Amino acid sequence: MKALEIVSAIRSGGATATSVLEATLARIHAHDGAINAFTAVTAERAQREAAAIDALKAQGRPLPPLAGVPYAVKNLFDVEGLPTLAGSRLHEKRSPAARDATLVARMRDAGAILVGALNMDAYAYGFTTENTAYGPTRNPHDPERSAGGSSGGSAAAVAAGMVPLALGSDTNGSIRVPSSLCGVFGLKPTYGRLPRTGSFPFVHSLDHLGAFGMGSEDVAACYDAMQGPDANDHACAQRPVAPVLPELARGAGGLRIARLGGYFDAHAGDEARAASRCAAEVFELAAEIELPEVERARAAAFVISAAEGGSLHRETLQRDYGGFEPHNRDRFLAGALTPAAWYVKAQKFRAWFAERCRELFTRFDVLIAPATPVVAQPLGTEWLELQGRRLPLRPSLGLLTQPISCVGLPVMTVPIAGVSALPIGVQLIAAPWREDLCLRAAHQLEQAGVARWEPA
Amino acid sequence: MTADATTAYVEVVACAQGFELSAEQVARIAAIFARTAEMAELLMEFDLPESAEPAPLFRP
Repeated sequence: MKALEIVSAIRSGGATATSVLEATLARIHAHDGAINAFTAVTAERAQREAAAIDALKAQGRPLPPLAGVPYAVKNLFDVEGLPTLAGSRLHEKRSPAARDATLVARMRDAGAILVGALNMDAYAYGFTTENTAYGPTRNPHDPERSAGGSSGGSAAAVAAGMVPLALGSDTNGSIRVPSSLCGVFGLKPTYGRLPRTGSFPFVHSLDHLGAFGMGSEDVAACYDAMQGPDANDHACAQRPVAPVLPELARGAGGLRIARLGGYFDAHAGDEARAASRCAAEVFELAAEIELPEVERARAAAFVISAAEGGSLHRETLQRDYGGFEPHNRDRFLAGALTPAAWYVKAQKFRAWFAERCRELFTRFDVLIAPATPVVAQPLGTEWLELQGRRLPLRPSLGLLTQPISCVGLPVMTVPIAGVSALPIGVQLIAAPWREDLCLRAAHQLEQAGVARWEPA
Repeated sequence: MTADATTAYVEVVACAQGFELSAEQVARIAAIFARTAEMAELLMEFDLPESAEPAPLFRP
């Protein structure tokens, strides 16, 4: 069941939070051995939270908006009582988190039931969730293939139907890439919208938190529950809550939509281009435009990530290189050597590019682009053949997402049905702080039958 | 940057930061650094106005 269907069933008395939880734990037990999305299952906590919802219902008291909805979080979120792994075995020795991350606390307050922590690329530097310490997360649509990353556990858990909602992080595409490859809906809000307090960082300038779900209404409800200021996150914009769920019924009527060509077509395979065209066809009069200097925007995100990520882990690499994830320890170390001039120029370029995007959004409300160049690739794949070029796969899966998160724009990724045997998604991109527009466009695609979650 | 310059840079700067790297590590890290250098070249060759400021805001 989807999240809001669960809430309705519990409200009407057709189910209890405890019965929903039992079914969820049974599904995790039955399916996660083959998928490896979970690194911890928090059954005792979940039972306490579910019992509290059932007690509210028994007392006839009002139920919160996500009452009884099971969810799980990427293991870089603090969960009281668990060490925050951030995908690294080095963190197992750390003290358990003393309190929940802000977003986990807000989900708890909204009545959601935390059932576990989810696998990821170590320290979020990767797009494939090939984690040497905790094993790869497998794609529920084809277990020989990657789920994408770095929030691969989050996308796979939703794709496999183990949970209706999951939380993840996105620095360069880590929500959008696994959403695309696993066929789920994923929202990366505007940079600074959702507070990151109590989550392990990767690149402070680019880190976003967001949500995965089986449809736009579920994702909107989850996002609404997590909004709001938090003075403990310096980058949080401290904006008031602006609920989007009530906006979805408006659809995309009146929105000015454009499909991004140019760079986004040149770096996409046939299926990804077909998905982007298929989405655009739903919106009559959708224009086709080019965003200037996209390749340099990707370069800026790449350089900033290398420099800040390398700086963050420099001392750990000096102390314990051997204990670090083999897939990315050399990338982090190379990043620690980044010249300051490159980093500063990248930050200046980013400001310039953000201005070009702002100009574009005076003419358009939502931009459509493919989310990944290709569908999920077999685990262990090193190279990607794309329009006659041979590219290293792991960094290249973010070719289409990195330029957008570089300037913090809100993006909803939706799975496009019927263009390929394996899932592939498109990005619906709006101006800063206009998550409502991304979600309205997503809802329209769902209503048209073009975007949909399909069980793996 | 040429391949030789990249290798020399990685060796010297890693050493200055206290890393003790084997020749194999230097080669692997230089290959990664070369990709970042290609990205940086795209940025460094791009003219921005003198007034351009870095994106992050510091709020005291």
